[in-house]
Amino acid sequence: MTGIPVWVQAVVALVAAFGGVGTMIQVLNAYRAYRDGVRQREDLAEERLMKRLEKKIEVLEIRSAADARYIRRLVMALGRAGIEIPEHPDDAKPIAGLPPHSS
Amino acid sequence: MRYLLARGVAYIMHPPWAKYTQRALLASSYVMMGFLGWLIVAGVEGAIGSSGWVVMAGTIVSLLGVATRYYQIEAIGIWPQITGLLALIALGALGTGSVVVGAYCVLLGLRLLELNVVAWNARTTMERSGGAP
Repeated sequence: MTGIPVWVQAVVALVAAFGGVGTMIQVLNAYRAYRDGVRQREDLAEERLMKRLEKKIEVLEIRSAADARYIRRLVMALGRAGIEIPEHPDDAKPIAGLPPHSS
Repeated sequence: MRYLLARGVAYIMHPPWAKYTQRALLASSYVMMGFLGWLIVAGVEGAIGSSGWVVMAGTIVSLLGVATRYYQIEAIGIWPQITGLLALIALGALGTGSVVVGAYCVLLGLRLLELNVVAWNARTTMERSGGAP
């Protein structure tokens, strides 16, 4: 910067420093906002998945309870008719951690 | 609100005429300022020419922000614009036009303040709703 007075050079340097720092802070803030936005999107997706799964589990529970009630009535009808009730297929080959159906 | 989009908050969304007018006004102001930067770059060399480059770069970034409605990007571009214009004023490159450009710098500062307030509001709302750590 030849020919430019020193005080003008100083002012320009100050302005440049002010602008540079401001830009850097702004970029940093934008990056932080972007990161938070991404995190929120992830959280939201997870929350939605959990809600969907919970709803599905609820439906399955209701269905399995209705099935169990119907099977109980079938078994009672078979018993009244004197028909022998076969063993549950899972009882022949029990699943680890689950009690047998006959218990 | 659980989730705040990082865009569309700093810009008018309704009514449509205001939305498009605001977009056009912002874009035209940045285009004109970019043109000023280009004129300086094309006509003068040295420190003044460098300031023109800074102004032009800033206007391109801000235009990108307005076009995509990402106000953070617009705010990033405002800083170099103010810096370049203040440097031009300090270097005496604008003559009596310095007053006009100075007034424009003040308006740019106002826009920057507004955008930062929007960002701050978005951040505090997000934190209050437990969305961000």
